[in-house]
Amino acid sequence: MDAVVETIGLTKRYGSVKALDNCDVALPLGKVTGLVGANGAGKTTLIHLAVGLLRPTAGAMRVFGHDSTSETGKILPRVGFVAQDRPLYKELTVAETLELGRRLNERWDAAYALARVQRFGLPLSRKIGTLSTGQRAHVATSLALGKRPDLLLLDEPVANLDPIARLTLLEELMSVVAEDGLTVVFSANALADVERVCEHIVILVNGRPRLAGDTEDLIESHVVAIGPRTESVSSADGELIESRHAERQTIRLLRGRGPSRVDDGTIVRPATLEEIVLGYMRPAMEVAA
Amino acid sequence: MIWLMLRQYRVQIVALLAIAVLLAIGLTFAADYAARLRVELGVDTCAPLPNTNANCVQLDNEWRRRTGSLNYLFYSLYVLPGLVASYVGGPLFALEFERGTHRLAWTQSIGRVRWAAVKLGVVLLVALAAASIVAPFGGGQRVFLGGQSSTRPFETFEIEGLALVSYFIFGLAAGAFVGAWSRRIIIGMFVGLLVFGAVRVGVHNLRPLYQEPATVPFPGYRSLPFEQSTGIPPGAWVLEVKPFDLEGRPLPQERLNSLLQEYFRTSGGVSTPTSNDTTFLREHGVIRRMAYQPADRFWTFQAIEAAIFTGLAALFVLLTLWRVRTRDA
Repeated sequence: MDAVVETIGLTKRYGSVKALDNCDVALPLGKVTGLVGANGAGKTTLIHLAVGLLRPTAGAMRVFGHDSTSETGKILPRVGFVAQDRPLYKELTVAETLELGRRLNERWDAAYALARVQRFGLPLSRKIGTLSTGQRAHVATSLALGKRPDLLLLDEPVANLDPIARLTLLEELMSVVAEDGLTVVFSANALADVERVCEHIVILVNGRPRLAGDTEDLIESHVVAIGPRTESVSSADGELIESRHAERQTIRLLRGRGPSRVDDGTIVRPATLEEIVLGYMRPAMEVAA
Repeated sequence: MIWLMLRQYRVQIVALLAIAVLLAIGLTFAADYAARLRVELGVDTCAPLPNTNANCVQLDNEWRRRTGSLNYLFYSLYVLPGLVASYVGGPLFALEFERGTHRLAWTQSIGRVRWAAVKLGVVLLVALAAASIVAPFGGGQRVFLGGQSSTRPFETFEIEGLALVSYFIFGLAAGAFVGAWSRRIIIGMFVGLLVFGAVRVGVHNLRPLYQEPATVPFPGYRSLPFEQSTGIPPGAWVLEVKPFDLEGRPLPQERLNSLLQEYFRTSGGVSTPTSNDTTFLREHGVIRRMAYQPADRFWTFQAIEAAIFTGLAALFVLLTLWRVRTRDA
């Protein structure tokens, strides 16, 4: 796998809190990757490290093969980044915001950025401060895409958006990916969004990747087995990721093909991505709690 | 990049320059009016009546009554650098941190250090321009203080010339520095102002030491004012009475104080032309001289003062850039 972002033993500490703990992760080139994890799992920290906003406490991170701390000058022109809450200068108009992109980036496709904001019917003379959250999201992504980046990094791009704005933004992003073949990495809390668009998933738990893989492979390799309540775990069933007990049933997420014996009434079916993601996130959260 | 700064701060830039121009006009008018009225009333040319100068005092009072409020215009020059430090410098970076827009700016291709350097550069240049507009006119206050604008240039040292310009530059850099380190607007504004004020007071107290003061023999307290009776050149900045030994070597100030205390305790306050504090001190090997800075040192002192504040401003600019370069966002 060609990696666009690669970390080796990456650790980031804020005081006594470890946001990333000896984290080894590689994000594939040319794919849409979803960074999933609970709040505080390290998603934002990982993204901020990639664009040089943060410096690692230990370990290293390479983006396009460049060191994320010492070679930000080589990385930033190729990366479009939208931070959480999509910061923009409220007092600038839409047109001035695009002008900002032109002035602050040597690589800038003015016609492309303009066409994008016009496609969403954003009035150029309106101040950013007067736009709706959804409109602002479009301006922020247009600003990031105007660089014609090779890598688009989005931190919670659809948070606070209504379902329709959410869908519009994601579909729009995917069409760009399809056209230009750029690599996208975005963090998300909402699993539905991940399911809809991600080709690759990294689940972060307590500052480390707990699972990473292509969406299709993950779905193919996991099953849910619902059977009579039992505490026993048969190793032949595959690797047990999580089991939850209802009153009479035990619901298990398994990596592998699932239980071979189904005569006790156990139902085995393919796991959904949401079940996989939650299954990997949940036990760790309980341990943490 | 420069475009962004001009766009981002256009309100502040226009306001700062407009205030500077209006103030410069106001100061010129005020000084000019006060000087003309003084001539019209004949305050300096009035002939005192025998044994009393009541009519001259009346004229002077009349002049002060009609021009006094204009004098306050000049006091604004003491306050303005602090306001610029607080209101422009304090939020310069802190506002970006509080709104999160630094994450937008720092991830553009230009990079964060250049962004910060241009931001500081543009705002400092504007402050320099605004300060340069008012700086030539602060000295007009001497009309109000002494009656004639040529007397005692040191009295308006802090509200004109290079010194005043350097206060603006320094205040802005100090405010920006505190704001960038604290990332909080309120701290940038408040602590920035405190830093500015503290350095101003500190350097104010250092100023008499920029050059070794000139001295003349102390004439005794009875023959005030000094300038006429002592030979201190007109317009000088009179500092203090300093003790020397009979060979003219400086002595510590405490020696003089303790001797004077002893003298007043033993003499009971009775002094005659042949037995007084001066003769007492001489008996103990101490003579007093008046220290002063001659008026022609004014521009040397201005240059030294401006060098100190500009140097400190440069230091704060470098610390701010270093902080922006190395800090986590």
